[in-house]
Amino acid sequence: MLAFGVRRILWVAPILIGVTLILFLLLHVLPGDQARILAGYRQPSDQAMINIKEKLNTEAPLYTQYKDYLISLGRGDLGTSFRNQRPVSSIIAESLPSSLALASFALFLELLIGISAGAWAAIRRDSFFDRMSMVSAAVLIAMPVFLLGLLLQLVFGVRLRWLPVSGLGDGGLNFYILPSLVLALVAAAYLARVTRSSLIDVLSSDYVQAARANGLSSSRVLFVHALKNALPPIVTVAGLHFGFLIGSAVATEVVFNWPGLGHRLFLAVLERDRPLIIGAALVLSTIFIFVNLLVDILNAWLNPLARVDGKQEGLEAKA
Amino acid sequence: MSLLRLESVTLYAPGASGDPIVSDISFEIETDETLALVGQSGAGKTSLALAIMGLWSGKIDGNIFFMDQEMTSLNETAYQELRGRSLALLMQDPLAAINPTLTIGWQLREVLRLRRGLSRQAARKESLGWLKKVGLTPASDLARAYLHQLSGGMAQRAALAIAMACQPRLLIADEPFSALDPLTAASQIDIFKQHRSEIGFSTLLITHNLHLAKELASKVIILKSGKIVEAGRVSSVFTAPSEDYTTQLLAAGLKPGSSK
Repeated sequence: MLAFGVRRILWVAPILIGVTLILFLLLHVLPGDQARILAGYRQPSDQAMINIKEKLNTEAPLYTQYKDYLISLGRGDLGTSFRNQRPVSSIIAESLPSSLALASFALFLELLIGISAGAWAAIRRDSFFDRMSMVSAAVLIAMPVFLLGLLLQLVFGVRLRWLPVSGLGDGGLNFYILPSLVLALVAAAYLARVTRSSLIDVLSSDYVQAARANGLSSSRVLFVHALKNALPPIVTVAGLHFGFLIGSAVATEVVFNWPGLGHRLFLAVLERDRPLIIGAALVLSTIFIFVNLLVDILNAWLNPLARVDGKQEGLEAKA
Repeated sequence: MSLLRLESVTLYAPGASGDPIVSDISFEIETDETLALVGQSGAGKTSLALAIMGLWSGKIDGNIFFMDQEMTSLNETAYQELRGRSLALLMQDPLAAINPTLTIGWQLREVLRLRRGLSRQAARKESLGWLKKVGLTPASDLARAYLHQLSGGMAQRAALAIAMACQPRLLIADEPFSALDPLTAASQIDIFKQHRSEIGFSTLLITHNLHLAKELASKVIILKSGKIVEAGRVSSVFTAPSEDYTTQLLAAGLKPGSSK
């Protein structure tokens, strides 16, 4: 288990280097001259272009530029935003915490709603609850996020006046409820379906029957014997969702005017602020990689076969 | 006194109202006796096993008496109390019947602690004892092993240890050797016989193999399409089968312990 964890962590370094390489190449391969964008819309003077190119160091060979890029990354320098001439790292540092908080809150709601609804549907299979929850899951998955957001704003914010419609306000919990609910509901709909099918699979297995035949109580059979086996796909899906909740919450953050990284990224794309886009992409990729690492380690802990890594450690020889 | 008595038991498939899966089954198992229930696949043998364990989800007609207690009207809690402690089930496919995410030792200790009420230390000690008894040595290594580290034969021994750990009065063995190769099956049969004489328990042996029935059981029931076609002592059924179907089964059987 420990060896597996170390091996898996060591894999992070090459993946991260790969990510920086791809992002660096994107920066240079994408159409549009950086210096030209930075110079503004009107035709700049030749001297101004030379100054900008010197500053961006775009005339140096690519590998030198990549080396310099890595060195500045090592110092925590993600470049300077084209639009407001501030360091990208400080812009991200401002907007990432509220995105992380929103994503964590949404993940909590997703796990709560998704696993309990899916598990209940699996236990009471073909019941009214099962059919209703699976139909509503299908509706939620099919519904565009911004539409769901607008509907919730209309009902709970405008009509009932229970919750604030948008923004982070004073950072109070009530500001989190609507946007995280929008994020969580769609993710929970997926998770409920995954939980249901995974648990139905496990509940019909021989070892669950055997656990019941040993006289274990139904709750123990469900929570200890069945759920542990049903969890790996649930953990995998929830882990992927967390990555998406942070980085791809663009629609939700825009609808709710949330001061998060998704919203910032959306504006950066509109403004063609390439250093900010690339910097945000790097931070999001890094988070994604570490969430995946966590998922793999969790799954290895849950499922001994996932630890093996292709190497079978049999005991036949000894017995 | 009979330990288990079935009186015209008829089982229906869950949710279906069609023909019964087995109909009008009556037999008795005495204390320390082994009865073999023989029939082809689909004859309804496993359904009967599940019904006796209280795990049949369809409708049951007739009566099942275990230790003079009527079982078909028993509630789930009362049944839970009997399962494992008095009634144990050994399943056909050992590689499917053991939880793949928990160690063998953990699963043995769970049964010992929750069903026998042993302390942590006592359960640890006794679980190692059971592993030794079924020939899984070194026991301390095997206690830490997961299912994927075991062969089919080892998994069957582990399943036997878990089923026997609470010293049940009746063991229902559902095709216990048919998933194993002939040599492994032969050694498993020896282990099984040895335990039966050491510990002493009744067995309902479910098999499609008449010769295995002859080797292990004293009484035999031949089941065909959910109905009993022949029943009696093993010796008489073997020497003078009264039904064509029994003769066919005898002719089709291979050596003891082998599977078709």
